Amino acid sequence: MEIIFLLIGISLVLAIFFLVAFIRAVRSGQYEDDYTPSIRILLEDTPTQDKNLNDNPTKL
Amino acid sequence: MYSPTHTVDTLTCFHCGTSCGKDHLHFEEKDFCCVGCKSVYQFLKAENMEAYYNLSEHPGISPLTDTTGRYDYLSEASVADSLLDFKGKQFANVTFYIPQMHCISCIWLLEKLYALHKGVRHSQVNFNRKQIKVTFDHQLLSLKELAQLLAVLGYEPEINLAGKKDQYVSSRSSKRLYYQIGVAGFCFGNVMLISLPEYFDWDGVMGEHFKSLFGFLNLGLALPVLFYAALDYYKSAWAALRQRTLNLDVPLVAGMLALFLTSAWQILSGTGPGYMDSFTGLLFFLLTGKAFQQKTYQHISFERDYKSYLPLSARVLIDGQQSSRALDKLKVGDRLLVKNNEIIPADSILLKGKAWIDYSFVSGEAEPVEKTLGELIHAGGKHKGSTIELEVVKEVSGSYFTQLWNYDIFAKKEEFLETIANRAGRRFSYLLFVISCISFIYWLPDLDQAVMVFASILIVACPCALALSSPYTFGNAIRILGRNRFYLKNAAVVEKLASVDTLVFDKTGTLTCSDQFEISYQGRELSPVERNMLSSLFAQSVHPLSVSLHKFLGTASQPVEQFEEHIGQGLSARLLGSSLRAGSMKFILSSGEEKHLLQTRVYVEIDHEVLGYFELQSRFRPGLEQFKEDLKEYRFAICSGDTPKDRVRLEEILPEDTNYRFSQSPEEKWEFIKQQQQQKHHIAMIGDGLNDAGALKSSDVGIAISEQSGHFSPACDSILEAGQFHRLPDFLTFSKWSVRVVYASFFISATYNVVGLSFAVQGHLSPVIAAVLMPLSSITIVLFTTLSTNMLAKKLKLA
Repeated sequence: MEIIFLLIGISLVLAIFFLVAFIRAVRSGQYEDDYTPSIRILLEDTPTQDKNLNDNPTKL
Repeated sequence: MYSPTHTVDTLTCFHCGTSCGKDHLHFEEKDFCCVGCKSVYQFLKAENMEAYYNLSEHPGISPLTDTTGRYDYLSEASVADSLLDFKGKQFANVTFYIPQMHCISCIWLLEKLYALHKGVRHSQVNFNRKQIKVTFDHQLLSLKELAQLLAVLGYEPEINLAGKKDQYVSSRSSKRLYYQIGVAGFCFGNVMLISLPEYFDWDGVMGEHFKSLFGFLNLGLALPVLFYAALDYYKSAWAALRQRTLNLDVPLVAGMLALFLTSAWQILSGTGPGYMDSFTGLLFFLLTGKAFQQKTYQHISFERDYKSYLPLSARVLIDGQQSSRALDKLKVGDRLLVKNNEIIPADSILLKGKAWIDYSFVSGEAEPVEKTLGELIHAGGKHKGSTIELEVVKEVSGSYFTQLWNYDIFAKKEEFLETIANRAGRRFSYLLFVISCISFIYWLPDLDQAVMVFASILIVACPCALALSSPYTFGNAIRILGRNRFYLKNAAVVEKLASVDTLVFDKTGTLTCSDQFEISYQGRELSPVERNMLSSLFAQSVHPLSVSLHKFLGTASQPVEQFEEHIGQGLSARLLGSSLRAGSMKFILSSGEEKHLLQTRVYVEIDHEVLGYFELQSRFRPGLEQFKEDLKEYRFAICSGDTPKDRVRLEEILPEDTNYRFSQSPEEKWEFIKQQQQQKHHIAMIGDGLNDAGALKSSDVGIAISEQSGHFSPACDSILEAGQFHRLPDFLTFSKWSVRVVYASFFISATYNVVGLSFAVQGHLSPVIAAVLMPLSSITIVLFTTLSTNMLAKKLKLA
């Protein structure tokens, strides 16, 4: 039964780890915009591809 | 009657989606409404950014036609630095507010700024706040050029030098709430886990040393909740006590402290397991309720000052040279240039040109006022017509407009908020105080027992359900109303809206649509040729009446000769050998003008034959005719700064006992509201302009009508988008029902308390029942309030 001491310790450490992760997420401003990222992920990133290829032939 | 059936009107602009008028352009098999829209299209096409048009239909915004000099003040280093968030050796950061942002395409284009100018390193949009944060190379691109780039694309940034600080503060306090919820949630979860053996009476299995360990762990986990998460409740309760009143937080804090102290005593003395699970859980639910209630519309400002209505800079003429100057640096004697549709920034005298000033926002007068040379023009009016030259006679801060805004009597004292919850909390506190004192005295011979009874009454009676019901009900109500484009400043406004019994309306811009006339023609039938001739005549003038009539008659525009505009009277010209005249009755018929004509009439004459007249009436907002039926239980009043010319038409559609007040000054409007309030009426003022500012502020609920959210509106409690005006009866009904939902949930929570108490009295309150009952009552309240408000919204067909 003494193993419970250890288990409780581990579970508390884990929980504190999540709490710290949450606080860091709030601090970094993740909760300030809950809409734009959901749109941003849907947008194509390369509409200017052709032009870039033509403009920067040296990079190829 | 003539109806405009031009094919041109059915075309919509490929860029911005508005219907194309007379300046319609056809380019690459696409239609554009103006040169501006076409140039944005060409610009984006040249940059291979056409994907902008694929993401949503007609995503564009018609750009400003003339941006030269508009952002000149940004080249001043001190101004630019005050706007920048950060400035390094090479890169700088700036955040712009862009009210025009509205769709996916906007996000896409604004985050692709780097493809349009190599000076832009990175741009990120916050759509909810309508903000864009740009990192740019300030050696390649100045702040002024960046603002210009955005304006050219149609995303004109709204720059407000004063607004930056407030935003920072509000963002910090909302972060703090998140931290508190995080801490409370963490402690609540772990305490529940550790208390689990206790619920099922596993003493035999676990042994005594576990029991004390668990007890101390619970105590330790409750400390962050006590000292951090609950902090704001102590502050609120203390503030109430200091003002010698009671709010709901007082019994709440008493209950919390009793709960914590009893539990701590039980744990430390080894007499019991304590109720730390209830304590932490209570705080967790309360804080989530608070967060739910704190729905804010980040892109809408309810507290604007005059600075955000006036432009930031003005065009100044110095030795014949145009330059731009910040508004607060304008001096008496400065020469100003004001173009069509621009706002007069300071009280000044007209030096050159003809001016029609639209004061509808400042005074409520529907029709523009004509100003002749040498006349004084007050700040705040919108100039319509060709460019004029002015001389400043008063600095901006001394103008009538600014004074109107800063009027002391209009200032509303921040009184202690009398909400349903606080009222209930106060009655509850008195009752609680009496009951617990009687019990304490009853048990007094046995001090230990007396303290125990005292504490347990406080715990059981802790008004947690009471404290949860209004945040969840009103928080949900705010969201539902917001989805229907009725934006409330905070949750307390829902309650105030429900108590309203009198509706006071402004007329111009509130009951009537600004800039829209209902036009009818009386007289001899006009032939198509005559129509075209008159239309060409009206096309020459920028007077709003002429503009409307020109639109009404079709968009023909032939060059005329000998055009003359007779100030305050009418127009005359020659076309195709005929003489044309249009104007007031006096001008055309040479007979005395009827002073109190109810409608605006424009008489027309071709070759000295009077053909007839056009009658122009302001158009009422659709849905107004339903108000009489739908809002039977309310008293109506009209309080307008305009002349009583629309009174007859209003009497037809509004209830008989409506109180009409016309030609009211802003002060008179404010006094009317005050006087009604003294008669114990609760008033909702519905207005739109600056002349309503005082009335909006002093009324119980000030509702500002705005043509578009994000547009300018005076300080108020709520903003209603003009297109939703006809839903007002539904919104009022909804607010009334929301309050009933709160009362119903009070009843539910009382039932829980009675059940809990009866168990406790009989000595049957086992830890597991107590532990289940507490969260169960909270969850019931949360579910009941949100589900019933959603159901109500559905019943009223709110989105």
